[in-house]
Amino acid sequence: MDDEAANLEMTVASSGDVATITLVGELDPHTASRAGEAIDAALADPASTTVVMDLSGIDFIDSSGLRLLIRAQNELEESDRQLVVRHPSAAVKRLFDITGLVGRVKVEDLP
Amino acid sequence: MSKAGEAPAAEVDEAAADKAAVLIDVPAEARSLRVVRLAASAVAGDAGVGLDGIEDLRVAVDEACAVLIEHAEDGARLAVRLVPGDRSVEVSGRCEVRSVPSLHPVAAEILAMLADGFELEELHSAGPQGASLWHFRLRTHAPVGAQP
Repeated sequence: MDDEAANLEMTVASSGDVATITLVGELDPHTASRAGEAIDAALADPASTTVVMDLSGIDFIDSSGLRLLIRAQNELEESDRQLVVRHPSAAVKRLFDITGLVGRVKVEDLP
Repeated sequence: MSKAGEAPAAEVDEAAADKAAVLIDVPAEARSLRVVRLAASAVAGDAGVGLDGIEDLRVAVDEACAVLIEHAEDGARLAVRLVPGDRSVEVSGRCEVRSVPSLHPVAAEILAMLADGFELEELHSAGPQGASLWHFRLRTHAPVGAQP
């Protein structure tokens, strides 16, 4: 396993019209391109009307990761589909607040 | 004002900062960001910065280093200096770049909120090889309750 894979583990699952991408680790310029490929694959499937990004295992994110989410949100919105960000940590949510993403993306918090 | 035979206060401060500084020199590659973040966290923890402040510093240092790395000359090194203070950390970094580094607006928003006094400037303009040396500086927010 290279260190890029070690710093970010990723699983992709599809169920009906929902694609779920689960990320565990750190989302930064080193790992963002790989995460971007998984997001692109989900976006390319028109059957996925909802794309869920499960960030419960993300312990670091920077602007490179936020830009991925913004791009995904924009592309999904253009085709009347939806991005859902699931279980971001408090630190991740703080960056959503700072960058205005919190008002644009549906966020599911932990119960 | 210093007395005769004593070093000026600024020199004393600089000497103390040099003594306390933690220096990191890593390849100017994205994979190095994790190491820099870990070092920044450790220095901030030793300096008594709170958990929220450490998290802010991790992100701010990452953003500042990432902009230099994005534009780094092939084979360049990123040198980062972390100076612990009283519940604060001052960070500076330098790297040879091949093009003018500019912050993405999202990164700029984050740095404006999470760090004080962020500066990004050219130290030496492009030489015969075409690379120029750029430098950043930032510090953690003043701790809550600190006197100005």
